[in-house]
Amino acid sequence: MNPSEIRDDDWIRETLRSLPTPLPPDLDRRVSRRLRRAAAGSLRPAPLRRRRLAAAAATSLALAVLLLLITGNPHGGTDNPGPRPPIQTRFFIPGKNIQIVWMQRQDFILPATQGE
Amino acid sequence: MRIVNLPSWTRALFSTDPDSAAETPLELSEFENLLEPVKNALYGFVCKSTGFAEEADDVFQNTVLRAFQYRHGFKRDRSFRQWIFAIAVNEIRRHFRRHSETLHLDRLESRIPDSAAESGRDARIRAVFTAAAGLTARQRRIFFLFYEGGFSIREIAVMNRCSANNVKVTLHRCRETIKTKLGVPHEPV
Repeated sequence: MNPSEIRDDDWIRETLRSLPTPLPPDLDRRVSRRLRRAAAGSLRPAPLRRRRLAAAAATSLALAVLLLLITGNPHGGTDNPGPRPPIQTRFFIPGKNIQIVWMQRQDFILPATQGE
Repeated sequence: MRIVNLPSWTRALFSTDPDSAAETPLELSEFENLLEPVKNALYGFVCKSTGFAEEADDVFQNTVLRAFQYRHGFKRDRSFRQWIFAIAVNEIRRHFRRHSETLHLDRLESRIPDSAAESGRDARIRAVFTAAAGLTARQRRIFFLFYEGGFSIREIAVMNRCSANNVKVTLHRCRETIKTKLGVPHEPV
């Protein structure tokens, strides 16, 4: 066999194409039937419908997440803990019907030296 | 006020692509008209690439049905032939994932016409297919796309997602393998 023939792409191409592979008619009919069934099965191509549903679902999810972030936190999403209940300290004077209620809004942190 | 950064995947939800809205997918009649001139070549490519496997008919059918299912991805200004052959390449890849990648050429004999035996071409056919059976699956894809499908090197590179140089090197290796199988001495470069 002449080596130059192998270098020639036409030789390989001709050899491959000399082997006929006609499409069998029954396979052709079967594929056409399935194509028609696929076309009748959906009014629009499935991926477009899926994309619309996915976009709507994802938009709803995103809105829900945003609403949750904004309204889910009772303090409006800030670091402010909100109003504290007043601290009540009641002093009773024994023997006297006197009650002193001391209400304070915040803890007083006193230096250690004052308490000693 | 707290600012929340949404993850990147959610940005796609709010983007609008005007091109996708403008391109309407192919109707069935349009799809069949485009398929008609290429289906014989497509069937031949599928048969020879799978080594005339029994599943070749299924691979061909799956190719056509998948092409119809994803017809919205076809741009009318592009080559339908290249597009559907690319789908066929992926179906053949899937076929070889389920079955052995080895080409069994026992069905080849029944396909060789009598006229080829008379002209002596049957020996060449057997030789080329035996050589193709010795290639890797990827080399075989490129080999049949070039010689059977008639695609250019650039088109094959696009379909296989590789460089044109890669395709040229692969084709050169295929030719060298065929020469080796045929017992033809290699010529020095």
